[in-house]
Formats: sequence, structure tokens, C-alpha cells
Amino acid sequence: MVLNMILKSFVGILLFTVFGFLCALLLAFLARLLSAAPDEKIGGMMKPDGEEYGYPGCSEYAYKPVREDSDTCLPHDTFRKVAKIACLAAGTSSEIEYIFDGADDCYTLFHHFSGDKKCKVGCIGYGDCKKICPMNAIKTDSQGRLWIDSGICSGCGKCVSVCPTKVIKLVPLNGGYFVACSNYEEERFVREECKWGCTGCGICEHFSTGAVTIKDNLAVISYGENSVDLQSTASKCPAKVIIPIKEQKAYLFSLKENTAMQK
Amino acid sequence: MSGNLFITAIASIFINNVVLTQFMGVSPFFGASKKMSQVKNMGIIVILVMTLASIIAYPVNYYFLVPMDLKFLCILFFLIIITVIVQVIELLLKNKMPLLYQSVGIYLPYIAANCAVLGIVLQNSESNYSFIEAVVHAFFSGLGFFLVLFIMAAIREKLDMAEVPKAFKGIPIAFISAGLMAMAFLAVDKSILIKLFS
Repeated sequence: MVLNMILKSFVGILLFTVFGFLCALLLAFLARLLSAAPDEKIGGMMKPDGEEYGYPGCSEYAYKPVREDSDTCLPHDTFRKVAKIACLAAGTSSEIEYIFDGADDCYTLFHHFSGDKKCKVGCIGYGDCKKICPMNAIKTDSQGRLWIDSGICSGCGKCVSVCPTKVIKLVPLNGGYFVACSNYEEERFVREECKWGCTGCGICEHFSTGAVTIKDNLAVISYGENSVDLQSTASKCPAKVIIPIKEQKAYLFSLKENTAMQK
Repeated sequence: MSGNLFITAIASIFINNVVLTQFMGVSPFFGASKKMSQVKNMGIIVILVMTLASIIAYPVNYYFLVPMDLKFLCILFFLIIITVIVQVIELLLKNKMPLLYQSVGIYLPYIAANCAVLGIVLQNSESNYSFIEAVVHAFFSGLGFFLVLFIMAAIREKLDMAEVPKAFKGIPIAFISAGLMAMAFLAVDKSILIKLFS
């Protein structure tokens, strides 16, 4: 009886070994059969998908520059992107259409007539992006306006995906300036709705020799390879919506002093 | 017969849910449920591997292990079968469909050592299912896993934005919401289902 049991387990272990060996052979054979595809072909078929960091793992992210001669893994700041809120009107400086007395988040407010501001395309200002930001880079200034600190922002794009009005955009850190308005309506409507709105007057287009263009009543900066210094153009803007990317904090302070002096 | 199959399908999605009732495959449940966009790929891979594993394990069990009286070795045999399936799928995807591998490939190692797949195959061999019943059970268990993963990812995306106490941020609040979900799934009862459909 005992001998029988020992024999049975011995046969079982033997069969298991044979089975495992057969499976290993099958795998080795399949690996040899299938791995004939050349590497260049695979590299050609790889295409980056839309998301900025949408890779399945570290290895895919690391392979990308090898395959495409791109620059995802370069350490310097040349190609780094930061998020910027393309609107300065949140808080006290924009005109209120109605008073909302509910939950304190942008998502809820967006589903009540696209927000409580008169401007329906701008920042709603209840700070969903501030809550989701992993770096705590999004801050509120004394007037209740939200702005993103370029020195802290890592460009992960979480705020871009969470913003209901899609007013946050990723811009290159060394791009120089960005346009802090998203309102594409005509001048008279913009003037009704907001103090800090781009009216599409075209002064920046005139002074910048092609780097800034007016598209749908809104100034658009093209971040090309040969970047132009837009400092003079920014100072000409009557609405003061062309804002330096790196020194936004200092700029906001100076803007406040200017308005205080005007008053 | 078809009513029986229907009961098996519904039961394996809602009543004997892989994650929430049997607590199998919990690590991919928390590891892969951070983003809604990742969930689809993970779910498809789980369904595929579960179904394929039970299709291959059924003849191995009934025409090899049971006649030879080697039922005590079934865990080892099933483990090898699952690993081989995962490896073959990975090889196929890597070399023939690199675009698909780019999006799905990261989840394959998760599955190779996943207790959910092994658990479903073992349940098939223990509960005397017929071949079709076993396949249906495996497929719909995978679907149940997918469903729960989907709900969890949706909840966690909303939780990222919610005001959670600092001590509970991240994984702890995910555990709490998973527990609440499990209690909700307990409400479905198999006896009612059997009375209705048979």
C-alpha cells in the first residue's frame, strides 16, 4: 500500500517533469520562430500616442528616443513643458453672471450654464486643478486668480485633463511668453465680460514679425525652433495678456501695482 | 441547459465575483485601476487569458490527470499551462503586433502570477463543470473582473479630486471604497436567480 503510493507520486513527478520540459521546448521553439522581425521595422511602426506621458512602462518611454531620435529623456530644460492657465480672469477681476451657492468645484459649476462668470470659455476659478496637482504648483494670488509656478510644475498634465473648460495648456518652458486669454469672441463681447480679455486688436501681430498671429479674435504664439524675443511685443499689448512663462509671479505683482497706480 | 448556462454567467459576474466576493486577483485590482484609459487593456487581457487557460486546462484535467489519478498535482500543471499561455501571447504580441504590445504588454506579467486565473481554472476542475460551462464560467468571471476594475477606476479618478483626509489619501481610501463595493455586491442573491430562471 505504502509502496504503491510512493510509486504513484514518483510517476506523477516524472510526468510533471516531462510536461514542463515539453512546454519549455515549445516556448523556445516559438521564440526562435517569431523573433525574426528586424528591429528597424518595429521602430518604424511605433507611433507616440496623443498623451504626453502615455507609455505603458519605463522601458517604452526609454526606447522612444532611440527609435525616433526624439528628446523625451534629455535632462536639460530645452524641451520641458509646463502647464499654464490661459486665463487671468478668475476671482474678483471677472464679471459675475449669477451667484452659485453649491459645491465648491469647477466640474459642478461647469454643468450649470458653463460656470457663473459671464465669460464661458475662461477659468472658472474653484481650483479643481489645485486639488489634483501632485506638486502643489498651482497657487492663488491676493485677488483670487489662479496661476501656475513654472519652477515647480513638472508638466505631468493632470490639471489639463481635469479642467472642464480646457483652459489649461502645456507650453514649452523656454518658449518665452504665453497668451493668458482663451476668449475667441468679438471685441465688444470681450470688453463686456472681462477686464483682462484679448480683444484681437492685432497690435501684437503687427509688432512681432510673425511669431504672434490673430486667430479667431485671439492672439496665438507659435513656439517654433527659432524663437523670437517677445518682450517689446508683450509691453505693447493693451490688455496685458501676453505674459512671461518663467517669471509669472513677478509679472503678476507688477501688474497689480500698475492697476493700483491707475486707480 | 441554456438557462443553466445563463445562471452560471450571471452568477460568475455578480454573485461569485472574482475580486469582491472571492478576493482573488486583488493586486492587479489595485495596481491597474488608477486610470480609466488603462482599464480596458487590462480587462481584455484578463478575459483572454482566463478563457484560453480554461479551454486548455479542461482536456488536460479530464483526459490526463483524472484517469492517471494525479489530481493532487493539478495546481502545478495548471500553473505551467497559464504561464505558457501568457508567454506565448507575449511573444506573439511583441513580434507581430508591436502597437498592441505597447498598450497591453505591461499587464502580461501581472497575469502570469495572478491567482484569479488559477483560481477560476481550479474551480472549473473541482465543480464538475462540462466543457461549455467551464468556458462560460471563465469568460464571465473575466468580465466580472473587468466590470469591477472599471467601477474602481472611475471611483478613484473622482477620489483624486475629492477632499480626502490626509491620512486616507491614495491606497487607504481605495481600500475603503472597495469594501463598500463588496458590501453592495453581497446584495445579489443566487437563490432568487435560480427561482427566476429555472
